[in-house]
Amino acid sequence: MRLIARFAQEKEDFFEIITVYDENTIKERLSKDTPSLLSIAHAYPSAVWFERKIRDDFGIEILYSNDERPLVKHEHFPPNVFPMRKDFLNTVIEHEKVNELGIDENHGVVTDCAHPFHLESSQFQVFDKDETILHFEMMTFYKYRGIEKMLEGLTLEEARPIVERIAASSTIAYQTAFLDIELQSSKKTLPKKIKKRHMFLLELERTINHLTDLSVLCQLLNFEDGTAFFVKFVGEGREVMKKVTGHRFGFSSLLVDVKFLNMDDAYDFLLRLGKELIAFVAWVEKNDKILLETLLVGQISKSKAVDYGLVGIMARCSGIRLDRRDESDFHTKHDFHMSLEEGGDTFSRFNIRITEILTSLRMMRSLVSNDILTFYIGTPVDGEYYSYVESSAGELMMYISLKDGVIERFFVRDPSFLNAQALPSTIKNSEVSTLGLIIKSIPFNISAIDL
Amino acid sequence: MFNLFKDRFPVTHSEKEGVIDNSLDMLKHTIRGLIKEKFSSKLKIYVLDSGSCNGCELELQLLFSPLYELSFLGLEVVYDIIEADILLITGLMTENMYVELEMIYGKLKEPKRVITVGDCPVFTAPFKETFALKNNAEIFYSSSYHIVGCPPEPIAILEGLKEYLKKDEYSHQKS
Repeated sequence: MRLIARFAQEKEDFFEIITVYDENTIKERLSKDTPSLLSIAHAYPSAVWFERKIRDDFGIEILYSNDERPLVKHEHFPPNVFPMRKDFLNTVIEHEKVNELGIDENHGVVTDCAHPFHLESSQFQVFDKDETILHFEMMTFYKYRGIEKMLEGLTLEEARPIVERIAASSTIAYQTAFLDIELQSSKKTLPKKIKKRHMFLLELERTINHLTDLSVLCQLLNFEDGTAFFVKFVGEGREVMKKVTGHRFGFSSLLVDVKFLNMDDAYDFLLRLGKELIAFVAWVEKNDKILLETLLVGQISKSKAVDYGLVGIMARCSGIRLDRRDESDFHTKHDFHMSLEEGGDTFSRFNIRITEILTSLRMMRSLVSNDILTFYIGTPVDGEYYSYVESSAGELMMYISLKDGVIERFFVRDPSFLNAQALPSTIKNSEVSTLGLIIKSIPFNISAIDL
Repeated sequence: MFNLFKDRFPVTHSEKEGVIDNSLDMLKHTIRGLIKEKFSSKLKIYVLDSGSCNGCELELQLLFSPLYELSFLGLEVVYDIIEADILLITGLMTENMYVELEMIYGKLKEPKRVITVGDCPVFTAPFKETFALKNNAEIFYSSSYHIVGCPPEPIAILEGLKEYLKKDEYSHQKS
C-alpha cells in the first residue's frame, strides 16, 4: 500500500487520526485525556513529517517515533500551545526568546533567512567531508501562515480565494481540487465543455512550471542558450495564461462562468512551443553537456521511491507508473500517455519534463475551445470530502470536513510534502557542487509545504 | 523593533497595477540613468520572502532572467544583505520570518531602503489573521515604497522600482 497522507482532527469527544492509503482509509479515535498514537514510520518513512506535524498541531504523543524534533513549531514557539486544537482561538501568540527556552541546538532550526534565490539558505543544512555530502537536512515551516486554522469556520465560498493563493505556481491544481470538493458537496457534476477548459488550464500550468524548472536547471548547468530558450517560453506561457484567464498565474480562473478570453493566441503558442521544443531537443542531443553533468547525479532508486511514497515526476522518473491522469477516461480520451523514465537521476528528471510538456501540448491542442458556458454550484451539504489532482509536481490531495455549512477541518497534502522528504536520501554522497542542481531538479514548493 | 523605523520614510504607493504606458526599452533606459545618477551605476537588491505564495518570487525570478536583460542596467540581486542597497520584502509577515527580518533589517546598510512587493506584506491580499502572522503587518514594519499587485507583473515591478528611484530622497553618489 502507498501512504498518501496522515492527519488529525479534533471532534467533540476525541481526536481522530485519518490515514489515507491508495487502497483504503483508516480512522483511529484517540482519547482526549492522554492522546497518543503509534507511529507507522518504520513501515512508511514519509509518515515521519505527518506525525511530527500531528504532534505540533494537536499535542498528540507519537509512540515509537524515530524523530522527536518539532516540524511546524520553530524554537521560539511556546511548547505547550497546540494551535490546531479547537479551544485555541488566539490570533496572537506570545513568542518566547530562543535562549530562554533552552532547546537543544540539535532540535532547533538554524537561523538565517529563507531566501527564494538562495540555494544554500538555512532551509537546508548540509554536512560534508572532502566535498562529498554526508548528511542533508531540510528545515520547514519558515513561511508558516496557519492556513489550516485560517480556513476553519469559513464557508467554501469565503475559503476559495485563500486556497487558490496557497501556492501560486500550483493555483490551478488547488482550484481544481477545491472545486471538485465544492461539486461533491453540492452533488453536482461539471458539463464536459467546462471540464475540458479546466483540464486545458491545468496542462498549461504544468507546461509553464516544467519550463520554469528547465530554465533554472539550464542556468545551474551554465547552459545559457537553454536558459534563454526556456525563459522565453515561460514569459510567453504566463502571457497566454493571462489571455485565457485574465491572470498570469490563473487566480480565480475556475469560477465556471469565466470565459475563454483569447484562445487564438493560446493555439499559436502551443504550436510554436511544440515545434521549437522538438528542434531544441534534437540540437541538445548533439551536445552531451547536459548528459555528462546530470547523469547519475542525485539518483533515487525505484525501491526508495516506493518506500517514500514519492509522487509525480519523482515517481515516474524512477519507473513507477503513478499519475492520477492515467485513471481518468477523460484524460486518456484526450491523448494522455504517461511519461516514464528508469534512471531516477537528474538527467531523467530533466528529460521527463520535456516529454511531459510535449504530452501536455498535444492534450491542450485537443482541448482548445471557444465555447462559453455558465454553471452554478449549489448549496453544499455537510460531510467529509476528498479530492485528488495531478499537479505539475505530482499528486495533490485535499480533504475538507464541512459541519453546519462551514469548514470544520481543512487539510491539504501537497506533492512537495512527500517529495521533499526524499531529499536527504537523494542528495547523500553527492558532490557539494551538484547540490543546487539536485534540489532544483526535484519538484517541490516550499509555500505548499509550509501552509 | 520595527516600530522604530516606521515613520522614517514617507510611505507611497505605486499608482498603477500592471498598466504600463512606457515601452520596456524606455523604462529600462530611465532606470539605467537613475541608477547611474544615484547609485554610481550599481544597484544591489536583496529579496526577502517573509511568507509568500511564491507568485512574487516567480515574477522576480523571471524579471531577473535573461528574458528582460537587466544586467546592463547595473541592477543586481545579491545574496548577502551587507552588500545590498535595497531590501525587497514579499509575502505575508509570518511570525517565523519576522525573526529573520529583524536580523536582516539590522544588517541593511544606512540609509535603510525597503520596498514591499505585492499585496501580502501590506495585508491587502485575501488572507485572514492567524496566530502565525504578524497581524496588521504595516504596524511592525514600514517601507519607503510599495508595489501593488497579486502578484505584480515583472514590468509593474520594474515600473515601481523606477518610481521609487525617482523619489528616493536618500540617494547619493557612492564614493
